[in-house]
Order: sequence, then C-alpha cells, then structure tokens
Amino acid sequence: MTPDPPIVYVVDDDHRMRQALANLVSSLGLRVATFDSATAFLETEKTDAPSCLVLDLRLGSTSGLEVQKQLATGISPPIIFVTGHGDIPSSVRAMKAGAIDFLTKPFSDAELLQAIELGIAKDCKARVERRELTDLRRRYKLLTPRERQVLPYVTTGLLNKQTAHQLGTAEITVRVHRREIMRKMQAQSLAELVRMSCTLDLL
Amino acid sequence: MENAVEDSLQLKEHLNNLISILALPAMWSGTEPQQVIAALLDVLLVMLQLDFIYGELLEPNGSQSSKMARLAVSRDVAAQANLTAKLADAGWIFDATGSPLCGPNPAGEGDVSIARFRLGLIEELGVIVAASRRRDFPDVFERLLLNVAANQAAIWLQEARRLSEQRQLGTQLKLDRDRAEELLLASEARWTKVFENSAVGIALTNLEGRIEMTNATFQQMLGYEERELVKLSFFDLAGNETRKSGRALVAEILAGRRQQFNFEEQCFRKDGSYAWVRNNVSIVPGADGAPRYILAIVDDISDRKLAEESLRQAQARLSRATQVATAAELAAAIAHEINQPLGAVVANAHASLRWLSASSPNVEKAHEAIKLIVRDGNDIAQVVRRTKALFAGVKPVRIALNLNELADEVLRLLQGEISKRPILVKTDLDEELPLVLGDRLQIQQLLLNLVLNAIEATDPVNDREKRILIRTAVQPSSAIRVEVADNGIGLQDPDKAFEAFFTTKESGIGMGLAICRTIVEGHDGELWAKSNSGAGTTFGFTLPAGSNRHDEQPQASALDR
Repeated sequence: MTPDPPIVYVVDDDHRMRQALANLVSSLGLRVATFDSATAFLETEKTDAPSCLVLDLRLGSTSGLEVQKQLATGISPPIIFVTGHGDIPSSVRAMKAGAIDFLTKPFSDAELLQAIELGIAKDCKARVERRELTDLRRRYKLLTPRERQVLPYVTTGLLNKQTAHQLGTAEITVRVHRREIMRKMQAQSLAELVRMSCTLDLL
Repeated sequence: MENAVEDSLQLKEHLNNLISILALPAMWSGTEPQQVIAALLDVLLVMLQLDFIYGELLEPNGSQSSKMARLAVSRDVAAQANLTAKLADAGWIFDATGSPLCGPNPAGEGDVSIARFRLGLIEELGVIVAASRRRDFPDVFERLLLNVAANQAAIWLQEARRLSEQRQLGTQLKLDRDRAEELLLASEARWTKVFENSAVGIALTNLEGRIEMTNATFQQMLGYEERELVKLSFFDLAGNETRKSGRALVAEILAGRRQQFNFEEQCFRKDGSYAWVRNNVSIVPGADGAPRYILAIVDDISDRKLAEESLRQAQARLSRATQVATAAELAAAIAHEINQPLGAVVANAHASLRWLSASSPNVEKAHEAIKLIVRDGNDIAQVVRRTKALFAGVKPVRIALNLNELADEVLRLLQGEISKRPILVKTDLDEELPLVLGDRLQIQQLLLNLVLNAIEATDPVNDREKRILIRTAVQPSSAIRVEVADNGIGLQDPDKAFEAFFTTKESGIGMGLAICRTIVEGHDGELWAKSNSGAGTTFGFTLPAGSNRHDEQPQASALDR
C-alpha cells in the first residue's frame, strides 16, 4: 500500500493567519489541515502520511513550546515555529527541543517552503525508519525460541562448531538453525543480520 | 544853714550806704543763699541802726523756708533763735501789705515800726522784715536802701537759683548720659555676642555692596577670612545668575520700594566651589534715618539643596525609566497588533503569486487570497489610526501664548540641568514678539525637548566653552521664528534627526524630535535643523502669528537682517 501524499498541519489561534498559512501551503502544492488550538490538533486522528506541523509560538492559552513538549512523548511530526516577534530564549528552547525552524512573521514563501520540505523529508525518513523497525520486529517474532537463542552466537561471529559446543548440541543442528534465521529475517548476509540485531537492540 | 549841712552829710551817708549795698553782690559769689541773707541782715541791722531784722528764705518748691533774725541788743545765738521762732509764729508779719506798721516790740519793750520787703515780685523768694523803735522808721532813704537791698538779694538769689538748677540739670544730664552709655555698652556687648555666635552668617556692607563686617559663620561658610572679605563686594560672591537680580533688588530697597527681600542663590566659595545659601537682605538706617548699611543674613542651605537635587535626579531617572519601559511595552503591543495581520498579508500575497505564476494559474484561489490581503491591510490601517490617537492624547487647547515667556519658563524648568554643567545659556528674545495661538503644554514640551537636546549635545564637548542661544524673532512673513542653537557635537545628517527612534544618545529613545515635529506640524508650523557654520546644530521652528500684541507692524529683527 502506498502512503497518502504529504500533509502540513497548521495550528494558529489567529483566524487570519491560519487562513493565510493554509493558502500559502496549498499554493505550494501541499495538502493542509488547520487547527485553532493545540488541543484540537492533539485530539485529531491523523492520516498516514508524511507531515510537518506549523505551530504558532504564542497560542491563546497554551504556549507552542508546551505543545512541543506534549508531542515529544508520542510520535510527532517535525515542528516549524512561527511567531509575531521572535525572542531568542524561546527560539533556542524550541530548536533544542527538535524544531525544524523558527520563522518570524512576516516570512516569505521560500522560507516556509524550505522549512516545510525539510520537515517532510525528515518525517519521511522517520516514517521509513519506523516502518523498518516494525517490519524487523514482525520478522523476529517468526523465530522459534531456540532460533532466538542461537541468533546472538551467530551475530557475535562464533563458528557453528563453537556455537554447538557452547549450546551442547550438534554442529549440523546449529547450521539448520542458522539457515532458518537468515531466511526468516530476510538477511542476505551475516553483516545484514548484525545490522538488524543492532536496530532491534539485541546486541 | 546848719540844717543844710546836716542834710548834706546825711545824704552823703545815705549815698555811701547805697553804694555799699550795691557793692554787696560782688562779695556773695560762691556762697550759699542762707549766708547771703545772713550777711545782708547783719549789714542792714548796723547800717540802719535797726532794733531787729528778720529774714525768711523760701526754697524753690515753696515747701521749706530758712528763717533767721538779728537783734541789735544781743548777738547771742539763742536770743536770735528765740526771736526767729517768735517772729515766724507771728501771723502779723505775713498780713503786712508793705505799708509801715506799728506794733508791740516782740524783742523788747514798747512799740516798733516795721517795714516789710519782698524778695522777688510775689515774695516767691522770701521776705525781709526790718524793725525800729523810731516812730518815723522807715524814712524815704531807709525805704530806698532796704528796697535796693531786697532787690539786690532777690536778683542774686534768682541768679543763684538758676545756676543751681543748671548745675543740677547738668548733674542729672551727666547721670543720664552715663547711664545711657552704660546701657549702650551692655547692648553692644550683647549684640556683638549675637553677631559673633550666630548660627547664620551675617554680613554688613555699605550701600554699594562693599563688605564692611562679617561674622565667623559667614567667613566659614565661604572659606574666607575677614580681611579678605572686606576687600570684596557682596555681589562678587554671588553666582552668575543672581548677581544681576541681586543688584536690582538692592536698588529697589534703596529706592524704598521694598523693606527687605530674600532669595536663594549660589555663592562662590574662596576655593571656587559653590555654596547654596538663602539670603535675607535688609537696610540698616544710620542715625539720621537714611540707609547706612545693607545687612545680609545668610543661611547655608547646601545640604538641603543637595538633597533636593538628588531627589530631583532620582525622579528624573525614574521618569526616564518609566518612559523607556512604557515605550518598550507600547512598541511590543503595537508590534503584535500589526504583525498578526501583516504576517497574514504577506503569506496571502505569496500564495497569490504562486497561484498566479503556476503553469496553470489558479485565478480563483488567488482572487480569494487577495481579498483577504485587502481586508487585513485595512485592519492594519485601523491599528495605525488607533495608535496615533493614543499618542495624540487629549485634544490640544489653543490659547494665545507669549513664546518669550515660555522660553523663560522652560529655562527655569531646566535650571537644574543647566546648573549641573558649566554651560552658558543666553537668550535673544524679541521684545515685540506677537502672541501665537497654541497648546501651552505642547509648545512647552517642544521648547523643553529642543533645549534639553541642545544641552545634551554639548555634553561631550571638552575643548570649548559650552554655549546655548535661544532666539525669538518675527519673520518678514510675520510668522514667529524660534531657534535653539548649540555648539555641541552636531548632527551628521540633520534631516534624519526627526525620524522616530533615531537617537545619538545612550539615554534617549529617539522620540523627542519626532514628537517635536508632530507638535509643530499640529500648529501649522515648520521644524528644521541645520548644522552651524562653526560647531553644533541649530534647531528652529516657525509658528504662524496669532494676534499681534502691538497694533503696529511687527519689525524684522536682527536675525532676519
């Protein structure tokens, strides 16, 4: 299944700004969804698409930084802050907390487009990584308990004979396990299996 | 014939007696009245061969009298006293009218003839009574002799009494004078003590202001010694600002237009520093009542002034801090109000451009976005209008103003700033200046800003005397022209000076001249700045003349020539 086209979320409590940002984003050829508050954004079910969030630093009751903190606990799209008057301490905190950019109103379309492209690219990469991890976990679950027991010996580079000796079994049995592991994990080489183990945090 | 010879001898004797009597006063000088009367009684008793003679001498106040009698038969003191008492009690003596009387002899047997003579016109000096057993006593000669004797005595007594009174008066006067001198000395000593120990400074000058006398407090206050001060004029000690007004006030006192005056001023100390003093000046009249000295009672108020100054500075700092804080808050609030719609305008504009420049332009979307741009642009204009109204504050109240008076007033307001610096502030005010119609507070603020700017522009100057000149004049067009010139650091670009938030000062926020221009333009005038040919800048403005104070055409002033 192919994912939906990228989407830009805009959260701003000022209706003029919200509408203008929506116009600008859609003129860039991107999908856009607008929210008038952080709560509305957090409570909405998102589509499965690469996305980024354009967030006003000074939302009516909640500060944008507060929203950023809440989003950090779950899976969140990259954030681009916009503000009426950029103050340095806020921007530093936002960037440290992983914001893509910090735009001071009024900003040009190029600035916003650049930030959005960067945000979506970052989200795409994150989504790929997330998908890979999910896939690896699914494959790992296919392994039998004995195969999961053998896997660390293989990835640490022991020979089949050494592994058999360690596990008190025959070398031929280890060779069968090893072939099954490589097949189930869809690893083309021992190096690839080692990388997968790393990703799964098994080493 | 024999009778004639006897008469002639008698006459000769009478004449001798008369001459003797007339000569008597010459012997009386330096003696007491009682002795004089006693001597007279003795002479007359013998000369006229009287049986007895009685004299009574009244004291000037009439309360007391000295009485004495002389007896021909006895020179015994007791007998004389006895007779005196007898005669004094005899009322008859005093009933006498001066005509010859006869009566029983109080001093012996038989009757006696009695003659009574007044001493003084109404017997105010006393009386002399002569008695003889001769029936024809007193004859013409005896009466003449006794009269002359009584008159001589009276004249002498009067003279003696006058002398005595004069002597007494003299003594009394001397006593009085001594007493007065004593009092004067005591009073002088007292006043000297007051003068010397007074907690306030006291200086006595002549009418030209030359110091004649000062007390220790005054000397300490200014750090001079007495001998140095007496070479100086009181006006030499006065600060520059008050020297002129001090002279004028003294002139008013001397002209009798005021009794005294007091004012606060800065006085030069010997070391060149200033002391703040409060002067109370009055005139001390001489003995003839005409002004003789000028008395200055001088109180050192430097401490108080110092406290006042630091309070004023604190207030000024506070007010400037508040100004800056308010301006910052205001700027933030305005920025936010404008930035929201402005951000929307820019975003929509970018969106429109993209839609229109796309390979297949989306005119409909662009149209919608541009409508939003118009709406938000109008919103911004609204914010700007509101902000302007906020700055404009209350509606200006136009009244007829004398700019010369306002200039003086502003200089007074800035006296504190000026006196902190070695700066020479001069005015060249056109006396014939017509009034202008304007808002008093705004015009005052305008002048205040310009003068304050001028003062601050001279602050970094070290290599020349700092000067400010304020001129008012009438233009040929009859507009009023005011200029504030300084010889300060000057401006690189005079035209830029009026932009808001333009400042060359660390402490300023750059609103001063922008406000000035708003005020001047609000009064249909013009504000400009130009660099001086020498150092510094001249800021000037013109305002249309309101109503002429004088009916004649205003004259062009020195500035226009």
